[in-house]
Amino acid sequence: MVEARITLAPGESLVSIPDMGLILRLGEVRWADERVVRGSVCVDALIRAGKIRVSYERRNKKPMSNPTPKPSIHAVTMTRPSQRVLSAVPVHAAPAVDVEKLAAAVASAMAAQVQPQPAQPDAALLASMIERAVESAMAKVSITVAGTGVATTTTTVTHGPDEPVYIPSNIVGDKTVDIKTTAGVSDASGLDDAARALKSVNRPKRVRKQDNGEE
Amino acid sequence: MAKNKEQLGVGLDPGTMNVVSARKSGDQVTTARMRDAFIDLEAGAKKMLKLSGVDFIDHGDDGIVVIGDAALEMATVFGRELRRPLSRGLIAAGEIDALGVLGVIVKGVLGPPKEPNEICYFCVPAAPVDETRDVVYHRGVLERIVTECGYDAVASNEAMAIVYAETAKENFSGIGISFGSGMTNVALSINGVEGMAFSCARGGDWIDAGAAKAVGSTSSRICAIKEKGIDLISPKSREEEALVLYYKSLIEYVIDQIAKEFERNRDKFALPREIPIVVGGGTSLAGGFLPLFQKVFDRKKKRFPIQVSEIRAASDPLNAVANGLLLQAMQEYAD
Repeated sequence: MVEARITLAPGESLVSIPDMGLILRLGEVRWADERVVRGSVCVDALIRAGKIRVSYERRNKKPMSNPTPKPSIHAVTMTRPSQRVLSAVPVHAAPAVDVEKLAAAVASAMAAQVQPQPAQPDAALLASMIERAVESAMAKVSITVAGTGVATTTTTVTHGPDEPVYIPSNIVGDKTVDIKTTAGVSDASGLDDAARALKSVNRPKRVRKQDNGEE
Repeated sequence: MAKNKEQLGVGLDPGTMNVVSARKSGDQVTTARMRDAFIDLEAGAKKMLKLSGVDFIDHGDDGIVVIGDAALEMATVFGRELRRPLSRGLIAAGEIDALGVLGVIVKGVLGPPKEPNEICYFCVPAAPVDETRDVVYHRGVLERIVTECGYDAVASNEAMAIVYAETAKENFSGIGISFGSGMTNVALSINGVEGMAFSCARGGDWIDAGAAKAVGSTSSRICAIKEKGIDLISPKSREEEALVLYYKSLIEYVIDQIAKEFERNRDKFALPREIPIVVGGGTSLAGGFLPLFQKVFDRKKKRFPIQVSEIRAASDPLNAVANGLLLQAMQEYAD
């Protein structure tokens, strides 16, 4: 009877085959029914990924009665290469693996194996996770403000918690509130002198709104 | 023109502790001041406040908001913490009622404009050298508030306003320092042109907090001691001694920052002659502030990179900034 011989590929120490319920460890050899192995999606994907090796053979092979003796090696002579030795192993492109399909299959199989645990809500952990998620989401937010012309300004929001992002309108409101202020009166002669002096300095004046409609 | 153009224009100084406006009327300058503070109370307190004649903003069932000097008194009566629309010189972003209250205070202090779009110069601090906060939002909000009050809003540097108000005889050359409650603003002007300007995130509040921590008291108690009257040259109690230490530290810090900033900007301008230092702002009102400043400056004079002709206080320290802003607003109407 032909069976499938499953071993780990070199360099692998632990591989799980969820749809067969197998976990292969370093040095282990697992035998399985050929049809089951051939029908396993996970085995197929793991072979493609180079994680496991599968061979199909009869399990109870009898050893050869008269094995051919191996030729004994008397001496080995090696010459120093005069040129850079190129790798004799041909480099092949890895076969395309449908990662999403594999991931979905692995996830569903793992979920089936895992025993359901009672929920243990950790409020602090949950809060910190939400906070991190919101922070990372806020850092990526961008606001696009359309200008009056054709130009469009895009601003990436990098505000901290101290910096509000907009100035509200109607701050003063229409409501009249009578409030008492402390009044003071002083002589304006100093101010007039300063005004005259400032005029002579010839400070550039601002263009007024009402003169031409805008500054 | 029916109205006298010389009477138009207004200056507005929205500070952390006080909001001050200045206008010219006839041969006088009239100022209006209101404490930049508020407290929210439950609707039940309405009756009591009406009886005592205290002004408040009525929010119906949501309660009432007492603003200005009355808020300070109410905070003491009800054992509550006073709230402020501005924090460390700039609009307090975390204070949700800040904008509405600031709007009411500014409207009350400015009054209605004498003509539509009358020019109002309001001050903004320069960018702080010791903090990452910027003044863009603060400036934007104030501009909107002043505009909504019916004025044509123009932003101007706070310390430069002191230079304009106080250094006419030096042809508007000098260093203006505005020691405010939330910040200290500095500007160096040469012939009316701003050479350098910056702010430090330390002021009267920093002094109060530091002194309170040193003697195991509260900032409001220390502030009350300060406002009651203190002589920085001869302190009489433990609290006053702590205040003197922090005043001295603030002055040293500001002088060091001026030297540092000047060295950084040295290549940008030249100072042909000695210039005065003029100090203003509410924090400079403490008794003995100027002699203390002079004393600290004398110790640092040798290594100070600017030739200083004299150190003097502004003629009206609390209103100096508003007066300087008024002067600039008046210039807009000058022929």
